[in-house]
Amino acid sequence: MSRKKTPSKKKRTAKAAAPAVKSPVSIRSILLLLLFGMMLVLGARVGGGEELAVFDLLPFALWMGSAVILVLFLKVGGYAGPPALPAAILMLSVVGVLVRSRMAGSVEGLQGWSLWIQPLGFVWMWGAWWLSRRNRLEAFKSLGSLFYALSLIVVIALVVLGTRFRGAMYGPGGLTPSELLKLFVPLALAGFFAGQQKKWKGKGFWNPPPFQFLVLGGGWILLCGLLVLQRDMGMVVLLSFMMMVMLVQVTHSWSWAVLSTAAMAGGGWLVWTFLSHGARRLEAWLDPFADPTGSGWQVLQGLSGLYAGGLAGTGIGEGEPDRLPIAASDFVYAVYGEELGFIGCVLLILLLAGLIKQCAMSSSRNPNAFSSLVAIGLTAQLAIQFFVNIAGVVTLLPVTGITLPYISQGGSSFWVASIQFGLLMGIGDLKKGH
Amino acid sequence: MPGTEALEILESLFDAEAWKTTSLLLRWGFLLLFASGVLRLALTKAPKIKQKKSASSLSLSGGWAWIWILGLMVILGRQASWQLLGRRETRFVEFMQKYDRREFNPAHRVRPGRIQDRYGQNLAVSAVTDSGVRRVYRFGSMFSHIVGYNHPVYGMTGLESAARKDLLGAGFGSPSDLKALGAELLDREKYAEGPTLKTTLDAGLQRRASELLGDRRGAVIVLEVPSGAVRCLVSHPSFDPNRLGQAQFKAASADAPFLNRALQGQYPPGSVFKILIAAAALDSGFQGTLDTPPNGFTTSASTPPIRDHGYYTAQERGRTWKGYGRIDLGTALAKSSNVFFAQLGVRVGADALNQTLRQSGLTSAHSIWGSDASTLKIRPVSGADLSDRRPYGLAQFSIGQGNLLMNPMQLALLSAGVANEGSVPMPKLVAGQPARGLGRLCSPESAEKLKWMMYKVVQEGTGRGIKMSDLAVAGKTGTAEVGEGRESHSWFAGFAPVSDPHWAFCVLVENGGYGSTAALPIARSLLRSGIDRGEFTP
Repeated sequence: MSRKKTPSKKKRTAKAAAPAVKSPVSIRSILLLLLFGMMLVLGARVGGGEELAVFDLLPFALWMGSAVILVLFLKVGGYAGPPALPAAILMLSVVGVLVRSRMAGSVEGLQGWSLWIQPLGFVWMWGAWWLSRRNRLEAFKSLGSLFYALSLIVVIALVVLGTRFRGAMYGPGGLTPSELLKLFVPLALAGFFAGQQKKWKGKGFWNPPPFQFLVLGGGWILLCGLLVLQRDMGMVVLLSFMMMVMLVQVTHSWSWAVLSTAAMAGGGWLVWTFLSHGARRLEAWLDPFADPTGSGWQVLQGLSGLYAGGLAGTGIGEGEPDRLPIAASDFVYAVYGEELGFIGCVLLILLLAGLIKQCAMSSSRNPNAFSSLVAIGLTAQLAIQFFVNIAGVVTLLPVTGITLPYISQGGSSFWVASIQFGLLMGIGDLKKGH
Repeated sequence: MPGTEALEILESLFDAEAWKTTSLLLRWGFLLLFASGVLRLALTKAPKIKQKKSASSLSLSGGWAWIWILGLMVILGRQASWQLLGRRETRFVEFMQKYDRREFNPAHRVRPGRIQDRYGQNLAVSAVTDSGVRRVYRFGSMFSHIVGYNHPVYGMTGLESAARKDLLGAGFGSPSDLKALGAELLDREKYAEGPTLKTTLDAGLQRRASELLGDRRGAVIVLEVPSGAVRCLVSHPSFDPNRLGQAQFKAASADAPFLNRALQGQYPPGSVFKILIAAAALDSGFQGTLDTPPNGFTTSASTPPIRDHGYYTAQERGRTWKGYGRIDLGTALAKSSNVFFAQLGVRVGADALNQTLRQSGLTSAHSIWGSDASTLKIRPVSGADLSDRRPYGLAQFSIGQGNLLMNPMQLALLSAGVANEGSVPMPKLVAGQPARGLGRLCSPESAEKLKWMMYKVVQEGTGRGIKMSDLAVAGKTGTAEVGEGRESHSWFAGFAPVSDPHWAFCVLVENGGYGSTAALPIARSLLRSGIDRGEFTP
């Protein structure tokens, strides 16, 4: 019966730029995943002698409500982006909400207004998707310089008004406005490259278009110089890597990757030599045992947690994240690894691999240079954030202070990541009407 | 309110007996759900989209995908090296034991394996107490210098320090280790105790040597030839590693109980050193006889003559000493003639003696555990620099006096070198370790000659006291002067049986007097107990 019907349906969808494909992971199984996790978190808390309050159910209830509404809205709106992207984002978010609510009992828990961070993030995600789908993002094509100016304003405002806390700059009210750069800079770079693709195509770093190269380099040095002043090395790494990926894709020349890698190595050497703060982190990375109770303490406590977890983990809610300084932000992966074990980590890594694959799909779907470049930039940036954070925890790289998107605690970063995901969903969604 | 109702249902569930099993099911259910979702995500193929090929079409190229996947795999590999194989990094385990307060961390139950003697007697075992892992030494002070101690406050010494990586199970490479690793990953608690270290030591022999030395200060070493396996290594006075206290470390005692005299002591070797002079002389082709005038030998008018022991005994008894006359090397060694060896050393010359000393491996520090260990080091010979020494210094050197300082292990190694066809074995503590050489004392031909000369010492010379009817022993006595008014150090070094040596040994009794009166009887009793236990029956 159904076989007979399919040809006509196929014919109809073939006309559209992208056929609507069912998500491989249903919302029901994602909700079940959350439910299982919730039971384990709450059960561990009761087992630890805590009384449960209605308040404890709220984060889960809010997550379920907002996720169902998001999926519903996407369906009604005729979502036709990368098919598994929303499911991958929601699964990542399940991990995030479990790990964060799991630490609600400890110092840096999920309390008060921060309950609303996640549902609002889903709203921004939906909004970003709506705003950018069907090539609507092309409207921003010529606004590259505006976004660059906005980036500079954010950084300068931080230099003037910001306060320092734990090595990072915070704006008034504990917000981290530098997170906005993660949106502004890809838009600015995409705008910059979109109009001059032909000038860059096939050019290696030895023969770039001179004027454009000067503009790009000057802009980069100005922005990153200001960031270095605030010791926000993590952001510099992030933005530089993103620019490198975009350059390689615009020029089709891997020579830029070679140049950038050399530049980053040189930069790392400079940081080591001239910034005491950076040197300490590098030394703790090279030999954490040299000063186990000082600079190596945080990394080694994170590794101890991982070792305690072992292959299968202690179980969700059964670990002791309060042994770990700044567990909720930089070292959240160690908490996750302690409780879900190496097996859980392999699954999370696979999820990240799949998520980035879905993100990358957006750029290949969109035929417009500007949108594609935005998608490339955002994908590269998300990938490097995941990579640098986790690599820092497992001592593959020095700790940079970059958080784990969607899992680490923090309002600004959650919202910015939501918007990034929304944009990626929209850029890959070209279907006209349904 | 629906929230309160849900809460009540949940709480009654968590309080139920079955929650333990339920939560276990939920854990695995969670992982299964997660895994199925992730796999479905990974296996979804990108739908083909009809798209006009446009010049401006941009996308992430495949190279980035490979870099991304490779990066993630490297992360997992690095993570596994800590999370799964962290046990292999000794410093990591030690960090966790000291600073990790997670009670369930299995690192807290990781404990060093047992140290056993060659027959499986436990010399050191781990005990788990409320305050952590503690080491227990069943033999008390008997092995305190060779096995050492591992104490949470006072640190580690001896074998406990040198072999700590092996005792914690840090080293791995063989297939059986890999198998153990797999089992360990699944049940780490079960494999919390490190592998047992079986040494070449012999608790019975060690006890006997310790008893024989008694309250006297000194050291006893027995090595197996040709393997270099250490059978016993005693240093007295010693201390009880089970009862370490601050007071012991603070008190600066002349007894220096923490000093491993056998490896680290510094003593004039006295006449035992003549073994090396003889070896160097034989290698340089010395043959024939030398005259030993009764008035001794000296190198210039201003230096006091070096005389033989007989001169002084004769003087004490009011008689005149006639000297040994013209004697050969074998007789000189048997009589331990100072006059002969002082001349011989000067004749052989500083260069040749230096060469022999250097090539025999005694001038550099070696750990008897292995080259990378920082403990259990044999202290190098001191005062052996002959480059700029006047002839008189050389003459003093040749009778084992003057600036020359050595330790009992080195003299045991000299006898082992003679016993082992001239090649000095490297002492070893684990049976499985391959035998290594430390250096070369002399040519096999010279060693063969020297062997029988040392036999002659026991048959008709100063070592007559150790002559036994059922075992052919070779040896050399030593009576090392340590200054006016103090009794000499008593030495005896040798090997047995002469024709096919099995043991090389050295006994030192500080301020024990003549070599033949203090050290020799100890060596004799040790050999006797060796005979009783069937050591020398082929």
